[in-house]
This record gives sequence, C-alpha cells and structure tokens, in this order.
Amino acid sequence: MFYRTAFLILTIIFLTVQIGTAQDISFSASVDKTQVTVNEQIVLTIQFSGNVQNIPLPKLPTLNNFNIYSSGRTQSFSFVNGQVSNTATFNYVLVPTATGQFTIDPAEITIDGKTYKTNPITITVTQGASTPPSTQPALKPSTPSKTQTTAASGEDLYLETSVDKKRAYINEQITLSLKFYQAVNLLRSPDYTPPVLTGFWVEDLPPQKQYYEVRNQRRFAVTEIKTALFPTSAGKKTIGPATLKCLVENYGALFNKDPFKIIDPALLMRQPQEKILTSKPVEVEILPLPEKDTPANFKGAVGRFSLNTSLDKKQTEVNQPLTLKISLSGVGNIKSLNEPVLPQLADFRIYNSGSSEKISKNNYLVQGSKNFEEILIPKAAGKFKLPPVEFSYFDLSSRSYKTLKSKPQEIAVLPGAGYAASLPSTLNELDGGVKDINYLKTKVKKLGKEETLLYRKPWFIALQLLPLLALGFSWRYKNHLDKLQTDVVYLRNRRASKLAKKRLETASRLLSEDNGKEFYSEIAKAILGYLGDRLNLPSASLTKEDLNRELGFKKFDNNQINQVLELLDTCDFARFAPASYEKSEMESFYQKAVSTLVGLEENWSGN
Amino acid sequence: MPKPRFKIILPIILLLGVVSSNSQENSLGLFQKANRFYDSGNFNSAIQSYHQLLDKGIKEATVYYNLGNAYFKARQLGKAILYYRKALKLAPRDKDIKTNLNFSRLFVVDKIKSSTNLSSIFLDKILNWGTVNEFTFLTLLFYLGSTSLGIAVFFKRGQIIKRSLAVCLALFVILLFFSVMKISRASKWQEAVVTVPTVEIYSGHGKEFTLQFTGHEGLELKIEQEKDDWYLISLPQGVKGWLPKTAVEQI
Repeated sequence: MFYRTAFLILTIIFLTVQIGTAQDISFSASVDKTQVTVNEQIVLTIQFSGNVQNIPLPKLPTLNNFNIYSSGRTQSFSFVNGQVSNTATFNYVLVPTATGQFTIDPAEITIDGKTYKTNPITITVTQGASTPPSTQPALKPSTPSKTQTTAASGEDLYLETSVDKKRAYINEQITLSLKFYQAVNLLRSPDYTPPVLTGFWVEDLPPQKQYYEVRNQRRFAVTEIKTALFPTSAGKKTIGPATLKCLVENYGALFNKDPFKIIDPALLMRQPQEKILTSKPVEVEILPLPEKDTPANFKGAVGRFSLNTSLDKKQTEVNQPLTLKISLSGVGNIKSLNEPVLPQLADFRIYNSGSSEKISKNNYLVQGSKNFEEILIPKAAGKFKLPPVEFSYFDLSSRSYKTLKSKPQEIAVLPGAGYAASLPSTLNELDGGVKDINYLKTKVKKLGKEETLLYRKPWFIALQLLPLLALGFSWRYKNHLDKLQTDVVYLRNRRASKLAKKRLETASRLLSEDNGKEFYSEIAKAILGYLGDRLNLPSASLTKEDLNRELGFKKFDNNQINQVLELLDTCDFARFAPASYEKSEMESFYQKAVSTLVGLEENWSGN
Repeated sequence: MPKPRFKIILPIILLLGVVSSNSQENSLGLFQKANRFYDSGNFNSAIQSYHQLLDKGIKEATVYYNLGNAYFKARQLGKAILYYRKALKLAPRDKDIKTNLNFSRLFVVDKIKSSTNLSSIFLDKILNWGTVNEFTFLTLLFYLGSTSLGIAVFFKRGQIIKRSLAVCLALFVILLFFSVMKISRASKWQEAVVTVPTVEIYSGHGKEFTLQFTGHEGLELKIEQEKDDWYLISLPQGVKGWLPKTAVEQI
C-alpha cells in the first residue's frame, strides 16, 4: 500500500515537474553543474509555476562570459486538489567563454505587474580537459555509453536514504527519509522500486515534502518521502537500497555531437537516456526489549500510551448486552496494538465486536488512538464489579515497562424477563416439549420424621447374629448325626454313660427287689459296658489286665483304676460265690459303683 | 432313640415408624395449607409453610419435592435444585422429582458435563437406585435366604437347594458390597448446591488466592474438605476450588 502510494505521489510530482507550491507562484533557476571546463555546456533551467494562465518569457540577465542558446520550453498543466498549476520550464544552454568564477544573475519575470526573481548561481569555469571536446565526439558520434557518462551523470540525480536514529528498540519508530535530488528534467515518471524493508512494520508518513536545496552550488529539487518503520525483531537490520529508474534528456548527445549543428532539426529530437539511481543501504541496530520485569500482560506495545474505558450503561438485564469501550491512545505503533487484557468475567459472555483506529502523523510521529469494543452479555443477575482492564507497554522515555489500569466499574444486572428468556432454544428437542415443572404431590399417607437408619439400629445388628447362630448349631447337629451313623467309637462314646446310667437304674431296682445275684451282675455289666464303650473294646472279653493297661494309657490314676478293679472283683466274688446278700452292704456297694462311674465319666469328659 | 427335630426360627422384621397421631394431624393440615398457598400462587408463603414442616423434624420426599417446586416458582433456582436433590435422596426412583430436577438444571448457567467414565456411571446408576435402608433391607433378605438355604443343605440332599444357595450367596455378596458403598457414600459424600446468584471460587481458602472461576446458582458440587469459613469443593471433571460456606447449602 505504502509503495503504491509513494509511487503515485512521485508520479504526480514528476509529471508536474518541480512545482514549488501549487497555490503560490514559484520562480527558480538551476544549473545541471556548477563546475565546468571551457567549452563544456551548462544547462540553465528556469522554472516558473503558479496559477497563471499565460506565462511570459523570462528576462534573462546579461551574461558576458557565456554564449547563450535557448533550448526550448516545456509547459505542463496540473490539476491537483482543485488547484490549477501551470508550470513552464525554460531551458538554456550556456557555453562559458572564459575561465574563472562567474555569477549568473537572477532572471526576472513579470506577472500582473509583479516581478519575480530567481536565485543567483555561481559557476566555476576551469581550463578543462586536455582533450578538445570537438574531436572525440566526432569519432564516436553515437556511442551511448560515452554519452551517458558525460551527460546526465550522477550529479544530476541522486537518491538518498537516511534514518533519524541508528539504534532503536523493537517496535520503536524509526523515521526513514527518502530524498530524491533532481537537477534535470525527467522525460517521464520514473520507475520507483522501494527499499527492501523486511523485519519492519511500515507506516507511510505523508505529506511528501518538496523543496529546493542547493548543493555544490547547484540547485536541486528535492522530493522527500518519509516512512515510519517499526522493527519487529531485534538484531542488526539493513534497510535495503531503493532504486529509481528514470529517463533524462540526453543533453550530452545533443550538444557533444557537434556544437555548431545545434539547429539541426533532427538533433532537436531529444534522445532519452535511461538512468538507474540506487540509494545506499542503511544499517540500523535494533535493541531487544529488556527481559527483566516484563509484565505478564505485555504484548509488545512500545511508546507512550494512556488507557480509558467506558460502559454504555451501568444497569442491564440478564442477556441484555452492554458495550465496554476500551480506548488506547498515545504515540507508538497504533495499528499493531493488541487488545488490553480483559478481566475474568465468568458471569458474562464476551464478544469482541472489533476495533477502530484513528491515526495522525503530526511531526512525522505515528500517533493516535485505537478503540476496542467488547459486547458483554450478562449470564446471571446480581451486582458485578468490573475489574480494571490492564494494559502494559514499554515506555521509551523512561526505558521501563508501565502498566495502565482502568477504573473498576460497577454493573447492576437485573433478572431477566423470566426463565423463558434464558431457556435454551433446543428445549423442545431436549425435553420433549416440556415447558414447566410437574405439579405438586398432594397425596400423602403420613409425614414421617427422621429415623435412625436401619443398619444403625441395635436390634438390627443383634438380629444379624441369629442366622449365624442357627447355622452354627445346625452344623454341629449335622456333624453329630453324621458321626452317629458312621463313627462306632463316637457312637459308643456317646452312648457309654447313657447305657451305664440305665444299667445302674436296673441295679437300683434289683436292689430294692433284694435280688442280690442279678444286682451284682448288673453292676458289673454297667462298669464293663461303660468301659468297653469308652475304650471301644468288646466288653464281654475285657480282662482285668486289659483294663489295667488301657486305663493306664488313658492316664487314669492308679487309685481310680484300683477302685474299678476292686468293684469288679467284688462283683465276681458275689456272683460266683453266692452267700447271703446283706442289704446294707449292697447299698453301700451301689453308692461306691455310682461314685466310681461318675468319677470316670468326669475324667473322660475332662480329657 | 428318637431324632429331635431342629427348628428354624426366622425373625420377623417390622419397619414401622412411630409417629404420634396428634402431631401427625397438625402436620397434614400444615402440608395442605402449604399446597393451597402454592395453588394460589403465593409461593413465598408456601415455602414458609413447608419449612415449618421441616422444622418439626419431618423428613419426607413429598415435602421436599413440593418445597422444590415452590422455590422454582419463586425463581430461586439454587434452592429448588437443593430440595429436589434432598427429595431424590429419600425417593430415588420417583419420576416427578427426576423430571423437575432435570428441568431445573436446564436453567443453571454452568453446564458441567458429567463423568464419561462408564464404570463410574454404572456404579452411580446402581447406587442411586435406592436408599440406604433399601439396600440394607435387600442385603438382609439375601443374608437370611443364604443362611436358611445353608441350613437346608445340611439336612436335605438335592442339587436345586445347592444351586439356589450359590445364587443366593452370590447375590448377598454383591448386595453387601453395594450396601457398604452406598453407606460410605451417604456418610462421607457431602454434596451441596450453590444458592447465591454467583460465587467466586478461589484456589485457596481466602480471597487473596487466585480466582479460578465463577460458579452460579444451582451448581451442584461435592464438598471435599472444610477450613474455617471455606469449603474445598470439586466438580465432576476434577476441577477443585475453595468457596465461602455461605454460598452453598448441603444436600
């Protein structure tokens, strides 16, 4: 964009050819060179421009040391911004006739009774080159290379680039000036190739300046274009050369061919000559921004800024938007300013509705303001404090980071028109067309109070033991039944005391019947049966020795064993040697037998 | 020798709440009064009356549900969701409560996606099926069934009894597992609902900590921890933060 504009402006400028100011009358004179040798030609250009319809011929001063030839007049009209500008250029060829320093006195022109004068020009004429100018061109009459060097040399046209500072921070403005010095007329608008500006953000800096500058005693029309450059990265950068391709009138060819054939009509056809001007590349050093103390929300702004926020209203409803305007203004790269950090606003949906810039380039400094607009849509009702908006930048004057904070603002959000307002639009799909909650429950049998949870009630916990106990008992009973069926030892063991008890009962009956023989026999059966069951031995074949041994194994003490053996002896004696059975003796024997069996049973159970 | 018969005694469980008949009548009257307030559109009075019932110690899903409705109509979304949740805790399979709770949730600003972990969804579904007492009772039933079948296996032969014992025992173990889970969840999981329009949730127990996000009325969250006047809460996606106790009410 910049290049195109620059080119356009240049084009206009060169087409109108050296207009001083469009409104005012400008009248100037210049020469193509101020140092000449004798017999070299000097082109004197007298230029007039202004809003004048008929430009009269200027009145030339008397020039004693020069031969003067008029080389014609060019005229152009321009219509810029409603201003008509008429420009006339009068060219004269001066050929010095003597050496020395001469002053070309001002030329005069009178328009509407007013006289305008040009500036005086000093010209030094030296003895010059040894080679007579008249011979060489004759040999090579139309060598373009030769004519090029002699004619519109680098002296006539310059292209210069300069910067206002050689060292700058990232994103600090560097002003690049491109100056085109022009001492000869161009045949047509030049082809301008702008400098290569990689690594810079480029901002055009109008207006273009035009002025005259005298250099080496020569008057140049200067066109100056300024450009603001904002470096985007640190390091050494080169602003590349700018080039300008122009066509100049080939005066050399015109005059050098043969000074005496000036009037030759064929030679009056100006032969254009191409000239390529290149500016010198400029080196600049870009400093990185200090890393120390970089604020978290710093986004690269460099310059000097101020921050301002405003809300379009302080009160709204749920889902009714608010506009928050954030304005940043100051000096710096306005266009590249990033949006300041918005505070966390969870209660709002935030939409960025864009930004706008106002940039002015007073004094060739890029400045202005950038406005950001945020649409805030409150999601919930309530009073909210809008926390400050923060913006950080690198201040060039103090070379430090600064953080700007806006004033916190309060927003009151009223509840919206109702739930319906905040209903999702897809509700119908979501809930099959439900628009409201289900109605109350009115049927109630009783209203219960809080109760201890079931598992916390003591009776419940106690109850858990019952099935376990039942299970345990049944397991034991099942075991018992199984043993009774399969285990003889167990069975005999289990029944030993029961049978002994039965036999003792029978013995007790026999005692009361006075049946002595049967009584003793029954007691012996009780004892032998009991021991047989307990020891799992056949009771019929039990001998005293067997009993003595087996009971010894079971760890009965001798006293008990002797008691048992004694009882059995008494029984045997009473059975096989029947005598008189004393009732009292039988009774005491019965008691003894019972106590012995009880003692045995106790021992067995204890084992 | 005669075989003694072993008798199995099964305990009879009576689950009857003891409520005095006098206060019952008063409560029912108050309940109907509250319903009438609701019908006439006087939602605030209805809310008051339902709260009087609750103050009496009444804990009934119906009352919570109606109170939730009254709060919804009075545009207090957070409280509505709170009481629907309380009602659902007592009557987990009630369709009306579920419908109204889900409907209310549509208006909550924060749309929190629930967990996508299939196993946790499955577990939640099972645990949300019933109350603690229901789980306890079912477990007890299968416990009794298992023990009785176990006893039967001792004395009667047959594949059917053994197989039913295996099934009964397996179900008992599973139910016991879920009951324990349910009980621990009911006693440990403290859930709450945001009842203020907005609440700022910080990274620590104080306003000097970083503001993490803002919760809105009706947001349901789990309380993990408490310190002074602050709760550490968590959301289904694993988001955690601290908020002042006054902003939420426990379910």
